[in-house]
Amino acid sequence: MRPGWWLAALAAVSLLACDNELIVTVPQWPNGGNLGGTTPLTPAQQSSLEGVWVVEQGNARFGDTLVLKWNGNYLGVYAGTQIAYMIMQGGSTASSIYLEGYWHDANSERIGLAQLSTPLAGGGTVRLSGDVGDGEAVPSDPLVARYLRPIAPAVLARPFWIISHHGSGGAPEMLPASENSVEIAKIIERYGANGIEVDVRISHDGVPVLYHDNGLNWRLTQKGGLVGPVENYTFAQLLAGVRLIHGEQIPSLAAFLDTVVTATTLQFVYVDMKPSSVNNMAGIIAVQQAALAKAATLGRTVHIYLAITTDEVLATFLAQPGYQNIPTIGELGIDELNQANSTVWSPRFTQQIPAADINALHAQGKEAITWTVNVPNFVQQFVEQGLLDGILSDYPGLVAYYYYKQ
Amino acid sequence: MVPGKIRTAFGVSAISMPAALVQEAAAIRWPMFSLDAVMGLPRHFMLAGTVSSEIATNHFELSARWQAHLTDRLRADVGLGGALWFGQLKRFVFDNNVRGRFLYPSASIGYDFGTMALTASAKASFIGSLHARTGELEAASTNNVYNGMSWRVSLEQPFSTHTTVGVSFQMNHLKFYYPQWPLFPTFDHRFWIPEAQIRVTL
Repeated sequence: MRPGWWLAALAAVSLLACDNELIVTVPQWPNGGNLGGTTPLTPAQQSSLEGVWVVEQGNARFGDTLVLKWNGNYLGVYAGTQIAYMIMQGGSTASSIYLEGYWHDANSERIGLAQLSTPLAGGGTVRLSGDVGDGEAVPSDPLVARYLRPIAPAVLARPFWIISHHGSGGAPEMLPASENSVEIAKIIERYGANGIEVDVRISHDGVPVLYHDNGLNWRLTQKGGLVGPVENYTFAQLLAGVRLIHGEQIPSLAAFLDTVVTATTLQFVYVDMKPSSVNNMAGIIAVQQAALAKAATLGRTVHIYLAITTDEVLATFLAQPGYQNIPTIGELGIDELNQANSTVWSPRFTQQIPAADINALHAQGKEAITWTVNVPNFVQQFVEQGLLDGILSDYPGLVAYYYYKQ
Repeated sequence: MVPGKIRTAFGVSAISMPAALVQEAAAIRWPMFSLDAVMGLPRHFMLAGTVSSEIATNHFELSARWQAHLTDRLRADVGLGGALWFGQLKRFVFDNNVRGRFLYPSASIGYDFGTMALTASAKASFIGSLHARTGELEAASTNNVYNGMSWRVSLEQPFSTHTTVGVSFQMNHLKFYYPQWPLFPTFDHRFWIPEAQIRVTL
């Protein structure tokens, strides 16, 4: 071989070896943080923070407006620029409320610690002030925000689904748990979601499991010995041989739904039936029905929908006994939606979604959502149009910002 | 290059988009075809034009270059190119279009071994403007952004009396590579995007 061709081969190998991995590590406060000496916030104190705030200092990082919304014991702070957010926890002393956590630009690797406080003494303008930083460095960039108004009651009253795509654990949002995992379901509400979308496939021995891509790959799993489609392996083999990107096991649909029902307050589950779901759709339906029954027993309101994604999936679904009473989402056209008696229409956002179709669905008591909207302009326009009942996104905080800011 | 002489070439490129963007870690996704022509001008100047297309995306670049003959075999050149591009996807469930302008300053150095020529080049990418829409909704509007760099190594050797064949490997380190526009990327991140090309000069 001529030297030039060796050089070309070497160049090719070196070029292809470049790493595009996007893993963001959530920074930790030293010694567990500074909230140890505080008392938990009362519901009234929590409520006093929720609302729309005007950024007075720190605009370059967070834009001009912040939306603050509690999700359990975590305060989501959603910003109007860079898809930035903060995840904070709070405590109070005799004189102040303290908030501590981290901030992140959801579309980049920029992340850092954040701390804010506000005096408890009432009267006058209410301000949150503090600092944010980069990585685990002590925060030193000032952030000051002034309370403007509460979230509009009409906005809070209307059910609107903010659905995290794949659970949102993988790129682009780079959360601390893997997409399509049990672990992501436990934390995704902190990021603004009240719904979650997952992808179901059927293992070689017929178990409905969660996994998105067509094959086991380095985007979703740690480097291991198994290659090829998930469908080639039994569930036991997947449990033993595969770790998701943050180290979790591939979960069964049953384990995932049980976690949603028992360990979260998520209200909407979108089970995207991948092509192999036709191999055991009865099994998927049985798992869905068991989870719905458990939720009913616990008094939990949670909608668990199976998404009909292709013509083949639709044909298989229509062959299931009692399919008319199985809660489903239709990703195909309105005709197919009616065939399956689906409750929710979910067209892709890149196609035309006529207002007349949505209004007709609403008249039948059905809903319309769209997937997968990550571009801020689109999210803003869909929210401001006010027609849709929910948005599927990799950035639930982005949807939360535009929805609760109305 | 002799003033007035025109050299044309046809190329086929394969681009491997980052798995984080396409969500499947498959390697090479689709071919992109290109046709380029270079015309020699007086005083070692050249005018180059390239049309690149993968059907849904079309990119038209025009650049001026100046070449220095460092030795009989070693040459270097610098250039400045501008490109207009547009894309349209109105099939399946898509109703999207995009248009924009790029600016490409570049430099290269090449050595003629006699039986083959080796060229290394670097090209910066600036987004002059980018406007993407889906239906009536505006997805993105960007102006005047430094986009990143591309580096290329090319080997070229005679194939027949009037034809040469070249193989190139290019590594792009870009925030936005125009063939990826239908993915509507939202990352503020420069990805490594490898690209291989086979090129025949006509």
